[in-house]
Amino acid sequence: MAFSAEISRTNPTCLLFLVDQSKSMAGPFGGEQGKNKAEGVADAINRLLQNLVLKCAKADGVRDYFHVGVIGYGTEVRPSLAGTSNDQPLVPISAVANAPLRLEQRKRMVDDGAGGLVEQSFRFPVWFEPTSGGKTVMNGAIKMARVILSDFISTYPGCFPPIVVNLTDGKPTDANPLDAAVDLKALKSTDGNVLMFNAHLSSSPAPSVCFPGDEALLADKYAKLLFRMSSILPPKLMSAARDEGYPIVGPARGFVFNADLVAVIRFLDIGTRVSPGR
Amino acid sequence: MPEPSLSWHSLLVPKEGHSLDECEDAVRGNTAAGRFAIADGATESYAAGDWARLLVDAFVSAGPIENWLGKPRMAWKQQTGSQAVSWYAEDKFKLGAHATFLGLTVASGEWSAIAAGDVCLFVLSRGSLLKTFPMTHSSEFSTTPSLVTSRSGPANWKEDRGLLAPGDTLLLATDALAQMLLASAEAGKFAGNDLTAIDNEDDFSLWVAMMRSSGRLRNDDVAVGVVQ
Repeated sequence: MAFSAEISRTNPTCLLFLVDQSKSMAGPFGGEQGKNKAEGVADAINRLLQNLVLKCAKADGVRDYFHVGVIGYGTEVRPSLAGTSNDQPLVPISAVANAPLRLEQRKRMVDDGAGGLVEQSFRFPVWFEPTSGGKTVMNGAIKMARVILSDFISTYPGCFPPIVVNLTDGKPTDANPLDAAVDLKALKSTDGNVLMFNAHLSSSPAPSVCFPGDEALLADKYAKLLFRMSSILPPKLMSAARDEGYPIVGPARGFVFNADLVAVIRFLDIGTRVSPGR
Repeated sequence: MPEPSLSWHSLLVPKEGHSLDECEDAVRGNTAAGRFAIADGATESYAAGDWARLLVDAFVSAGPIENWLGKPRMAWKQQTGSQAVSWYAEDKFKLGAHATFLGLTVASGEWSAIAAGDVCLFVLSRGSLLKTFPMTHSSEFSTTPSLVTSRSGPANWKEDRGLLAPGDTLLLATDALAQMLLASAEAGKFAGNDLTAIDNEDDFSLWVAMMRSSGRLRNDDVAVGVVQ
């Protein structure tokens, strides 16, 4: 059965993030008042990486279940994560864990164990600062992703299929990225085809949409394009999304509009999960 | 009164690709007290193996008395808190540890059990499977079972009890093995009887390796305890 390979240190999978850093990202973010899209994207990639590290963190360190890369696209298209380069675009998740640019003191509300909430401070890691400049060379970023994942799959041919997560305001300027996305998703390990998920951060204040099964739910033409580029969630991920209360209808795709994709990190199976309320 | 002539053995095999130090299943028995326990630390939580071991030790030494979780909760904080230095260890530590758990008491010709999550008790009578608790079918297992947390708050316990007859066997198993045993029973070829006859690590490791390579047992830590 596809999408059933164990994710382990000996058989890791790859998460490759594509981050839109183009000029248009300086525009306002409809998903959160007072923020621009570049801030929204920086927050999104930092939260994705934070959650991925936490997923793999054990008392004896961070286990390398995932190899990770970030391709920034704007003024140029290049691997942007500290410690990566064109020659070595991926690093194991433990290297990401230990190399944030800085740590921010933040506060959050957590369950107090007695049915209430209590404020808790924590250190939030920042790997990416907001940035915007240049064109939206999404097509180029997807082509680079294909080369990187082709190499990864040749090293780990039996891996759980690598996942590409694209964070963008959805207005490509180099070429229509649909064909490049089709080529990317045609890559496969013995466990299935590469998955591409998209998070659309728009200036539109339209309500957020998560994992839709039908593009008719989307008003924006760029949202429809990103929806078409997105993979249908594999059965296990779809079932995890349903268990978390997402209203999954039909062939739900790995696409969100003015929302984040952190839930996808939770859905990846490395063993027993700790679900809120359980 | 505990049963006068109970025997107990337990066996543990880590997930393939992991060392025994990394094993997050724990199993303990105390025949004199008639108490037995099995736990499985949740993969995604911090120091989950430590928590599982503290839980089974606490149950076996004190039993399900009021607030019996208080002592292992305090011990887990003291034991693991000082190691939580990095941002991610500190964050995971704050979230606490989690484990599935089953505690079994045998006394006066009866068994009673409390359970949270998908560890499972199998009651066998002369080779026949009489009952399973709390899991009843191989399709019930998931990656989000009910868990006992090291943080404060009540656990979501299930409870059951039953009578014991001479010759009965009680088998405790963590999730991967429990799921395989239930599937074998559903297929009419219950594999638990072969298992109760294995009482040493080498034979158990070989049996587990054979079950994994045949695809019947998924790759996970495996713990089993047998009361006879």
